[in-house]
Amino acid sequence: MRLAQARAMAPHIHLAEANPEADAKALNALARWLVRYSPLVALDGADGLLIDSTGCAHLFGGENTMLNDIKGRLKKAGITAQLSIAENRAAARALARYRPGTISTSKEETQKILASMPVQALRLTEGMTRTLYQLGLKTIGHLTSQPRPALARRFRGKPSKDVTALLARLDQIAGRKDEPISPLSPLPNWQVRQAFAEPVGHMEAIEYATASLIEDLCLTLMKAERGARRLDLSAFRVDGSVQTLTIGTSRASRDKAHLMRLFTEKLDTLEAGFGFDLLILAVRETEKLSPSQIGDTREETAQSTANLLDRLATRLGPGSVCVLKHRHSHLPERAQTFAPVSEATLGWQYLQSLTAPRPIRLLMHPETIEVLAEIPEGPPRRFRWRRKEHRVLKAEGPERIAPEWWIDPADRTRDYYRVEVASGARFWLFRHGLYSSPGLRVGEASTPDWYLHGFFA
Amino acid sequence: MQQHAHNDNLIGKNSETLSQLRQLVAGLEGCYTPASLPERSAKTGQQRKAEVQAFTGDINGGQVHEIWAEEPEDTTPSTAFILNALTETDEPFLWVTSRRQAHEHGLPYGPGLAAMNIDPARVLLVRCRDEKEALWAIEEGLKCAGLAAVIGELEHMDLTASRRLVLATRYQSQRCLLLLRTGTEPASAAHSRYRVKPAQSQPSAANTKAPGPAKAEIKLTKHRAGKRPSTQTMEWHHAQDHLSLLAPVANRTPSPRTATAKQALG
Repeated sequence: MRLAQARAMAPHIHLAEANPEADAKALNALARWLVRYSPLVALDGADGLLIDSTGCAHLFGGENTMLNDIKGRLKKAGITAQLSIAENRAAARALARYRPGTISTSKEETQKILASMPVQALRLTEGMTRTLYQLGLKTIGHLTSQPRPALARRFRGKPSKDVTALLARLDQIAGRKDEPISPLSPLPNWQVRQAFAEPVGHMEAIEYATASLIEDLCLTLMKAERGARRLDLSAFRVDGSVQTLTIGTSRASRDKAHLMRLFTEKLDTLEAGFGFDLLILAVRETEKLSPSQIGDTREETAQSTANLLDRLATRLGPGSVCVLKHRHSHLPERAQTFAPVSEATLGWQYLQSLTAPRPIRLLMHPETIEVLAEIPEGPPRRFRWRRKEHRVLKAEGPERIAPEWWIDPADRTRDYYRVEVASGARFWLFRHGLYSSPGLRVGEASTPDWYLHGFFA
Repeated sequence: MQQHAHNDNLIGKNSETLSQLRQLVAGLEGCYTPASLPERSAKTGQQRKAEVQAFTGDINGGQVHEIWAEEPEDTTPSTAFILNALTETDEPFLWVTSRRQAHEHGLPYGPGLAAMNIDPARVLLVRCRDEKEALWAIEEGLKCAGLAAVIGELEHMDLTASRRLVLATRYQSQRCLLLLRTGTEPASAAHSRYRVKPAQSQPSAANTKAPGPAKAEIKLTKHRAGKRPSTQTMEWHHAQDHLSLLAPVANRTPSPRTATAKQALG
């Protein structure tokens, strides 16, 4: 039906332009919010959500109560939803779409309900569905009563993909074949939760709740002899939005005070709005952490440094605290990278010791200098850098560093010079490109540029 | 016999004056020849170490020390001066810098640090957005045990901030080395302040056109324990005893060479 036709039939029709991106985003947000019921929540197409509630239903007072709870909350948030629970995923998907509100926990019951449902519930291609209708196989019951080899034989003319899909769907819906679920976030190692009877908006209350959650978690971790490396605190707001704070530690920790301190840095960023009704603290990464000896000063010092780095990284943001890491490259700026502190391999033992002197400070991006007086194939005599003129008295070089053609074929050769200017300051200059006769080599410009790259002591 | 000795002495004196004049001319012209190079002083490593210790010895204490870079190009010699105070231990150290400082003066470069006898893996680099964050990070670092020192690169310093840092050093009697890039001498509560400026290097005899071992002029401008302000010229060798005090080259009255250290105070 066309829009004009529809409007002629019902003039009061409300018009909204389709926005699939916004829809997907909203569905994703809803899925994150549903993590309050089970950690395993996955998107199911563009219009469905799957929750693996194995072992979770009893926390909410059984399947029936849980389903009503979800329905009630979604209704309050203004979302019309069709829900059902079944003992396998494919069946739950079919029931939610074609017989919402069904709760079936046993295999026989599910099969009985499914038998009377139309074949569309199997999510087959349109052509396949049409063929099944033409053959008179209108319900799932019709299909399951057919012998399997006969079914496969009957569709010999069809693309084999369709036939395989049909058989797979039948297996899945009968619970014979498991269907993988890809949850939004990986399953946490441990998680603890704190639900509030009334929405909580005060920072003190949230801090207190977080502290008690951390205490619970640390107790569990201690029993398992594990230490946390990454923690997520998810705060569920009454209006259905979720805010997640993530903290990371540079070495495994189950120190209550330390973890709390890291969270305190971030708790201010929570926006309470009308208040939170649930907090979930989940451990995403753990490492083995044996109980440590009391009075081991070396261990304590190492721990104190690690705690400091965690605090700095939490306040200043990830990537701001790092160590210098060596990389095998002749290009100076590529020979050193910055790595997070926890990274074990730094590779400085492989540093080549037989190179020309290297500066102690290196600019991240070489800066262009204006050469005022130059001799071909030699260092500049005078140059201007940052609006200041320098006269070169002594120079050493060139140290020729060829470009890494396997990374950037258009890069040019560099000739590095160590120069000392009249004030005594020592710079590392390079000429980008060679002086060459035209047409000699590809990628060599006739007028090379000069750059300042580093500083010597 | 006596006459002979006197003659020898005279010749020695004359040749020294001559070599000094040659150096002076070479320095002014910026063109050295092997003949214009001075002799290296024949000090042992032990002697050099003792001299350096006498001048910069108290940088090892648990206090705030300021290394003041008056001009932008003073930053690198100041960095080297700070790093020199860290060669004694193997512990990691915190290096706090801000985005602006990193952009203006670059970041520490591992291969260069390795040449200065500093294992690059010891550096814990903290890149802050601004000075306020940097001050916070320095203060947090000072409260932590197990670091060789906390290095902070700052562009402003006032009494309040430095007083806070001084108090923070007391927790673990930690060393705080501040690299101050300010045009004017700041007022602060620091224990000592060294102004570091690069100086013309003496080229080596092997290649007179190349820069020799790096030299810097270091001036002690402030000391709370009452050391007199003094100026020293220091030289970095990329070798075992890589820092030594040097006898001044020019602008001094010719005097006979003796075995004792020559220091210019003033």
